[in-house]
Amino acid sequence: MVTADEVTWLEHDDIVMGILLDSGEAQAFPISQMTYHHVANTTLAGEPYLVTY
Amino acid sequence: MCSSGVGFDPLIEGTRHTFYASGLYNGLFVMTDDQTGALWTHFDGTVLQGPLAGGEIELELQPIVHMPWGDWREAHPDTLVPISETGYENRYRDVSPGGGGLSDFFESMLIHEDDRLGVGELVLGVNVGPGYRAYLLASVAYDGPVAIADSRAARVSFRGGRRRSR
Repeated sequence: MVTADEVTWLEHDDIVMGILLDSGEAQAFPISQMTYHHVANTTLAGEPYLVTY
Repeated sequence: MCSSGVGFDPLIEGTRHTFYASGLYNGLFVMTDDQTGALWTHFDGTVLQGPLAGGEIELELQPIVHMPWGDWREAHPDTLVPISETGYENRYRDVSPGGGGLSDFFESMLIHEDDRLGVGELVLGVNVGPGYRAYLLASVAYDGPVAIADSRAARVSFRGGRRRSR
């Protein structure tokens, strides 16, 4: 994972799927990537999460 | 193509299951979990085939938000994003959810066609109580972070997804 400041390959209007915790911690998955991989097994603040597209 | 993003809690009876895309079924990709080898649909988190099929196990849906990267970044500047140099970056492509139509290949594998909406019509799916409802995305109104959808049966409003920390 990288921070938003390191992201140079996404345009403003590119659609992402975002997950968010009450704590404010967040992750975003570009659908341009998800259309190929379909599944992301991720962890957010120590909690498992499954993102699918 | 399905154009359907769905989030789940991958804990099953306290054990984390990890998944990978493993095939196509009824116009959708299906996924397999490493722990049992069962085949799952990502539409509702139920088991299609395998050792868990026929039981009452299903993945719990979790809130997930679809929005433009620029808006997401502005709202959540500390967000993390997967790396782009995965070795598959030449396979990534710009997509328009709902666009692209339905190829003959995908149409041929559909078990049941439903002509109530056009192919590629985007909906906002909601599961409340015992059933599922689909609201035409084009008809959904927004009041800040709250989406309001009307149907003949009811007006519903819902706030963008935020998952409670355990």
